[in-house]
Amino acid sequence: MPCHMIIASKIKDLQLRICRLDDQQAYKELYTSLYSFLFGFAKTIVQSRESAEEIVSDVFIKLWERRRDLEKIGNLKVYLYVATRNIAFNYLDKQKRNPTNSIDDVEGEFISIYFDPEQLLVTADMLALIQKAIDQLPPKCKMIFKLTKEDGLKYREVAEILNLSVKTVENQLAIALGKIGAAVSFDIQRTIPSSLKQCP
Amino acid sequence: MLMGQEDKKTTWNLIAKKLMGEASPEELQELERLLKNNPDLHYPMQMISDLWKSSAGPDKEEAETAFSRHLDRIKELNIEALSSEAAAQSDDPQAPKRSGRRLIVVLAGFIIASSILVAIFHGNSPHPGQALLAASSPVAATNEIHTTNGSRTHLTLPDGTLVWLNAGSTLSYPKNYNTTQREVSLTGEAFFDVAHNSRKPFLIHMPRIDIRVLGTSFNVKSYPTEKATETTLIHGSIEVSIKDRPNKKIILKPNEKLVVTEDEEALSTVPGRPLTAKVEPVVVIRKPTYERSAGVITETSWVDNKLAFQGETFGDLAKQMERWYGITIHFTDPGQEDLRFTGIFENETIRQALNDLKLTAAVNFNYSINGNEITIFK
Repeated sequence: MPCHMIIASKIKDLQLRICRLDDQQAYKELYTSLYSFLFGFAKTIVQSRESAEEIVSDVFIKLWERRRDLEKIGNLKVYLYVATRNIAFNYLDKQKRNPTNSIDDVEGEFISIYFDPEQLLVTADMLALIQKAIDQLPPKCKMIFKLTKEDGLKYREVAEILNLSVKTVENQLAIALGKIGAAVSFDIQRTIPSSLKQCP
Repeated sequence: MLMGQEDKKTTWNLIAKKLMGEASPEELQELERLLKNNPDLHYPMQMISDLWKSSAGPDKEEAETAFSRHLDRIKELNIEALSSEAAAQSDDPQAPKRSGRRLIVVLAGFIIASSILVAIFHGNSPHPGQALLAASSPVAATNEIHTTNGSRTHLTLPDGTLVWLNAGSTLSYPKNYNTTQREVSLTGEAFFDVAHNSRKPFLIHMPRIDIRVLGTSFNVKSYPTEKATETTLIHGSIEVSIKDRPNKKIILKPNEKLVVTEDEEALSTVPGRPLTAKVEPVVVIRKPTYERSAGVITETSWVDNKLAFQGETFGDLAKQMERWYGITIHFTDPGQEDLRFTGIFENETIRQALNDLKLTAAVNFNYSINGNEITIFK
């Protein structure tokens, strides 16, 4: 697992410190650990960096205001993603005339997926192919790929955040990987010299 | 052999589950079988696995700057109890406290010129090696974590050392902590669980003593308003040097407590009678106080959010309660400060705590609460 996502026990620890001790150090650590994930998620929905940051800020204001009840929340990470989703869609509703609550309607241009080229040991061409395949994924599919690969969320967590069934999430991820895989195989097919292709 | 569409779907589904760490043993076996029958998928699967494992990770710096913008926004929106102005306060524990549990914001990345670090890194005659160090950090940069009265926190240092910081305390460490050595400075009280590293000694600088860690977990206490510095060792071993006596080094073994104080009276086993009239600081090794009924060690109970005290005078206890609750306590009759108490506060409010004390007091007392000011009277 690639995970740079903060681990569950650490979140629990911060959660309790914020709730019981009003610990601002813990509050800051929670913010900085989850910021880029929640920001990226919000940005996907609202398509604007400034608004995305404001949305995450709103989420964390609410969190601080309700910190006394924080202990009751089972999975704080999922809770924060869901809060981000709700505020983001509310924001969209105010902007557009057709209110939406589905990730399918999201344009999905701004989904950024990172990989470290040094770790991958592939050619620049291959890298471009992979990126293109990812870019061409349908919005829901791409979002699920991001939340699982980048954010390290589990199937059921993604399902809860996006309001989908676990089966749908599983299938969509499989589709995403299949499409990237196809793009990659196509390339390798092209680069193998024809004489070698004869080998059984 | 070419794979049918259904099989391909299934295979990718299983690959996904495997990468997610959510594949059952049966599913893994099934995947093996399917891959064996379709070598075409080997390369894509490998590529995707590599892709899956490589990740750029969150940008912590961007998160930090976003957080300070977040704090600014809160100030603009006038949301109480999270003011960044609190961050600029001085850490004077005598300063009157505001509302009950107002806490101080952490100042990671706060750059100050620390005299301790200047002494270490610049010194009187810099060697070429040291000059290099000085060049890379022209202004000695420190991280400082500060708790006001009424708040406690805990943090992890870059090397994995765990620190619990009690109320009214300040811990600072240089930005290049964990490069060649591990040094921190402390006023107040902290409990350390030091990550083991024999090549990099862990050093703590306090107003009256320096501690070199040879082992693991221990508690140190040195508040400016108190005359005594205490070190209680729980596991491992530590070497304590007293600043006024550079040649005397004391090695503490587990379950020993060292008290360095200028107040002889505090060390006397008979209340009210000082040991001797000495000028230099007195050093005593003792056993930590073990509260048998509750099974806690008094000195470190605060780490578990318990305020424990044994045979403590009301005056000393009041100081601890001031830090614990973020309040101030005044005695109208100084004689009342000599009343002694034993007990533990865990989740009690200040009112409940005072009532508990009233119940066990040898001589009755009364109190009044006015905001954050408690007055004790007859």
